[in-house]
Amino acid sequence: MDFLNQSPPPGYIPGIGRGATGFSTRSDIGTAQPVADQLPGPEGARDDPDSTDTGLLGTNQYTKEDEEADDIYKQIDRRMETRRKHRNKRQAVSKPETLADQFADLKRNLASISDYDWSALPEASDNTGKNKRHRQLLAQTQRFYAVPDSVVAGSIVDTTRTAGSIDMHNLTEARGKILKDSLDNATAEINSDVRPETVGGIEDSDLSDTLLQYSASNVGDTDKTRKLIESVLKSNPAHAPAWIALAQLECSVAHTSKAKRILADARANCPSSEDIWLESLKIASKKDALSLAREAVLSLPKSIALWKALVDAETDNTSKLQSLQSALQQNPTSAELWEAYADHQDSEENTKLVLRKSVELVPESAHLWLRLASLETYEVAKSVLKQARDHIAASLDLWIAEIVLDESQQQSQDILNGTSFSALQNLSQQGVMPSRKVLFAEANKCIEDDHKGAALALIDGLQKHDSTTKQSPLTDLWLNDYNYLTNKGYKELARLVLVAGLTREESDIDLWHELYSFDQENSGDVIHTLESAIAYCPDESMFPLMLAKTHWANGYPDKALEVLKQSLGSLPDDEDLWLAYAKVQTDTGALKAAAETLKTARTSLSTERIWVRSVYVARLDNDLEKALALVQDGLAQYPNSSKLWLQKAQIEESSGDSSSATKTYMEGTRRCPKVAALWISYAKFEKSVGTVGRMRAILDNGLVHNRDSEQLWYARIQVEIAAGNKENARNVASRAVQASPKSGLLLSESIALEPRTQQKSRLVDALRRLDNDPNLLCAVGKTFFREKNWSKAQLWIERAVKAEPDNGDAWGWLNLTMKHSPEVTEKERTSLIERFIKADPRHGIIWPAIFKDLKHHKTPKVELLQVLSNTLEESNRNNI
Amino acid sequence: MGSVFLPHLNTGWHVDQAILSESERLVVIRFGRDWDPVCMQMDEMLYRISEKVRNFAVIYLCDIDKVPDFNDMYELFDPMTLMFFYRNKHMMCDFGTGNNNKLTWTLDDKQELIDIIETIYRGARKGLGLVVSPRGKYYFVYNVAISQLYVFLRRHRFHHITNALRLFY
Repeated sequence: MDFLNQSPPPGYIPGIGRGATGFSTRSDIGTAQPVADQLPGPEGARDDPDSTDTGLLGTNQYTKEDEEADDIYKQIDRRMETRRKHRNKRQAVSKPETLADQFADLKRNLASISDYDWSALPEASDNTGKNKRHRQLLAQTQRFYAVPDSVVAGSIVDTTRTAGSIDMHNLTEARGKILKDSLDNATAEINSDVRPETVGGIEDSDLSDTLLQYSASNVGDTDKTRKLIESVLKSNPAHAPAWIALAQLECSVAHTSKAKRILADARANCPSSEDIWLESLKIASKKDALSLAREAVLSLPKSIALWKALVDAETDNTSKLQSLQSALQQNPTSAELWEAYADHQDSEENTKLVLRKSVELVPESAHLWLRLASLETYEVAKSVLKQARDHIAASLDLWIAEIVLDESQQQSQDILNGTSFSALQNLSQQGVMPSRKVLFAEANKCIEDDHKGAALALIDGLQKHDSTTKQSPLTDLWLNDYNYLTNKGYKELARLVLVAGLTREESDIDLWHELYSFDQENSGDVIHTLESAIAYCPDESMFPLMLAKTHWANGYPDKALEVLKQSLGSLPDDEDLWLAYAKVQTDTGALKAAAETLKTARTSLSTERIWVRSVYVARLDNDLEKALALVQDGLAQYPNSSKLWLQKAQIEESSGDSSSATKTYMEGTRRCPKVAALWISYAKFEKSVGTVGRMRAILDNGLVHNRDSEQLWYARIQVEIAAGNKENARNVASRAVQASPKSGLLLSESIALEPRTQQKSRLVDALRRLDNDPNLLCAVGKTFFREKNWSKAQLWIERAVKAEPDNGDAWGWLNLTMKHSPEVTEKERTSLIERFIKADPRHGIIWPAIFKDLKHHKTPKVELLQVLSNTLEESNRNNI
Repeated sequence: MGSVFLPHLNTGWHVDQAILSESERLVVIRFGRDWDPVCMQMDEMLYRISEKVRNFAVIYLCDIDKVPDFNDMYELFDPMTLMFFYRNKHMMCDFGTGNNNKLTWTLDDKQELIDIIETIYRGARKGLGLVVSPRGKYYFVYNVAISQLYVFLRRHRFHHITNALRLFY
C-alpha cells in the first residue's frame, strides 16, 4: 500500500479518474446528481491510453489480440443467446398451463351472470369455535359442588331437634341422612315403576332397600354394600328385608347358591316372614320349589301369597285343586283363592257351583258376583246381580254389568237408559256417586268392548241425572264433557255425548254446531247432521248456510239453491241467506238471476251489504250504467258506506271518467276518512293519472286520519320503493314501525330495506319481540328464498302458513318455493294445493287484489295461486 | 478505537488508488466521521475482523468531511456508509432494504459482517455485480427513513426502542 504515503497528482478529479460513474437512487434526500452533467470530458480522461490516471493496472494497451479476443467473446455470447432463446421457447411449449389458464373459460363465463344471481350468492356461515363453545357449555353444566356445612347443620336440627351444641355423632348421622336422601332421589326415578312400595315404604326396609338399589346402580360397589348389609344383620338378625337384600345382591352378581344359603339362614332367623319365603321360592329351581312351597304353607298357613305360589309350583291340575282346597280350608274368606279355585275347575257347571259357594262365603266381592252372573242365563244373572247389589250396595261395576246384560238381550235403548238413570240415582242416594271422569272411563271401556248401547245409556243416564240435580246451563256442562273427551281422544264417546245432549236439548245451537264440526272433522254424515239441525232449529240461518256451502263444495249448486230458497221461505229477513243465494247464482254464472234475486232482496230489506253486492253483480255483468245507477241509489240511502264509494270510483275509473272518479274519491275520503282501503285505492288511481307526489300527499292525508293503519303505511312504503328512493323508503318504514310497533308486516318491510347482512339478525330479534308473527316468519322464509336455500325457506314459510292460514301471500310464497325446490315431490305439491283450497285464504297484501279482480272472477283458485306466485317472483326480482 | 488502527484514505486520489490497486481482493471502504458514535462502533467491528478477512478483503476508512468528493456521487448522507469495490467495480448487495448500493447501519455480530464481505467477494469472483446478502433480516431498515430513525435511536442510546423496532420490522 505504498500509495498511502504518496501525495496525489495536482488537478486530479477523484472518482472520474478511475472511471467511476456513481449512481442515483432517486431518493428525495440529498442532492444526488448524475456526475456526467457536472464534470466535462470524462470520456477523454478514460480514452487516453498513456494516462497514468487509469491506475496501477491501467498500463495495458488495447491491442489486436485483445480485439480478436473480444470478437471471440462476442461470438460466444451470441451463441449462448441463441441457445437460451431455443431453450426458453421449448420451455414455453412444454410448460403446463397455470391454474389461472385452466379456469380462464369459466372466468369468461362469469360475465354472463346476472346481478340477481350475484346478489343471491349465499353468505358464508360462521363455523368457527363451535366445538369450543360446546365444550365450554358442557363444562359449565357438569360442575359439582360440595354440600355446604350449613345444610348438614340444618339436618341435625331436623333429626334431633337439639340445636346449639355440635355433636360429632349427630353430624355423621346427618351426613348419612343426606347421602341416603340423594340416593333415594336418584333411584326413585329409575325404580318408581317397578317397585313403588320401596320409595315411600316401611321404615324398616328403607335402609336395606336403599343399599340394594345403590348396589344395583353402582356395580362396582357390591363388596361395600355386602359388608354394610352384613353389619346390619349382625346387629339385628331378625330383620327380614336385610336378608332379602343380601340374597338379591348375591343374585345380582350371579351367586345363586350363595343366595340360597343366605335365605336358608334367613328362614331359620325369621320364620314368620312371608317375603323371605317368597324370595326363596323365586330363586329356587323348579324341583325344589314344590317342596319348599309345601314347607312354606305349613309354617305360614294364613298366607295367601304362599298358597298361590304353591298352586303355581304344582304341575298337574288335580294336585293344584287339592292345594287350593286345603288353602280354602285355612282361608275360607279369601276371594282371590276362590277365584283361582273357580279358574281351575274343569267344567263350567263346577265353576258355577264353586262361584255360588264362594259368593255365599265372600259376599262382599263384586268380582265373584260378576263372574257368576256372566256364567248364568239372562234371568238368573239378573237375580244374581240383584242379590249382589243387596250385599254390595255401592258398586258401579254391578250396574254396568246389568246394563251390558240388558243390551246383550236386545233390550231397547230406553230400558237401558232407565237402568242407567236409576243406577246413578241409587248411587248418589248412597253418597257414592262416581265422578264424571270415572263414568266416562267406564263408558269408553263399554265402547271398546263393543257395547255401544251401554255407553250411550251411561251418558244418557248421567245427563238425565244432571238435569234433575243441576240448575246451571246444562249444555255448557255437556260441551265441557265433549271437549274433555275429544282432548282425551275418546272420539266416539264425545259424539255420543253430543247426540245424547241433543235428545234432551233439541234446539240447542251450540250442540248442533259442535256436532257439525265433529262430523266435518271426522268425515261423518255432515249433510244429515245439518238437515236435522235445520229441522230442529228453524230460526237459525247458520245451518242452511252451512248446508248450502257443503252442497256447493260437493258440486251441487242446485241443491244449495234449493236449501237456501227453503230457508228464505221461513226467514225472509235474513241478509246472509239472500247474499248467499245471490253468490251461488253469481258463481254459477247466472248473473241476471242473481241481479233479480238482489232486486227482490232490496225490496224487503235494503241493507248496505245487499247494495254493495248488487253493484258488484252489475259490474260483473259489464253493465256499467246500471251499476252506476245502483251505486247512486245506494249512496243516497247509505252516504257513509265506504264500499259503495269505492265501487263508484272504480266504475268511473273503468269507464275512463277520471275527473268524476277523482271527485268521487275526494267525496268518499271526506265522508269515510277512517277507511284505509279507500285511501289506498285513491292513491293507486292517482298513480295511473298523476305523479308520485300526489300519491304521497294522498297517503299522508290518509295517515293523518288513520295513524296506525298497517295497510296505509305499507302502501306509503311501497310508493317510495316504486319511486326508487330507498333512503326515503327507509325513513317512512321507521316511522311506520314507530306508529304501529306491533305490526309484523311493517317491521318485516322495514327490515327488508336494511343491508342484507343485517337482515337475519334483525329478523331474529323481531321474531322474539313480536312472538312469531306470521309476516315475520314469512320474511325469514323470503331471505332464505333469495339465498336459494329452498328447504329452509319452505320450512319457515310453512310455519307462517300454519300461524295464519288466512294469509294468501304466504301460500303464494310456499307454492313458489315448492316450485323451485328440487326435493319436493309431486305428491307434496298436490297436497299443498288441497290444503290451500281447504284454507281458502282471503287476506294478505297481493292476494286480495288478485282474487277480487273482476277479470279473475271465473278462474279457479289453483290458477290464481300460480298467478300470485308469478307476481311474487316478479316483485322479488325487482326488489333485488 | 478501531479507527486508529485501520488505514485512512485522506484524499479522493487515495480512495481511487485504493480501489484500483487491488486486483484480487475486495475493497471495503467505510465512509463517515471518526468521531461519530455509529462509525466508532462500526470501526471497532471492522478492526476486529480485518485480520480474519485479510486474505480476500482490505478495509479502509474515509472521512467524508475531509474527502467530500464522493458525497454526491455515492449519496453519502448517512452517518456511516460501508461500500464494496472489486477490480474498480462497485459491488452491490441486496440486503432486503431497498438500497443495494451500500450498508448504512452497524452490525452487532462479527461473523455476520464477515459473512457479508465473503458473500460479496464470492459474487465478485464469479463476475456478478449484485449479490444477495446471506442474512435476510435487514428488512427492518427497509427504507432510508426507518434507517435514519434507527441510527438516531442508536446514537441516543435508546436501545430498548431500537430492539423493539428490530423485532417489529
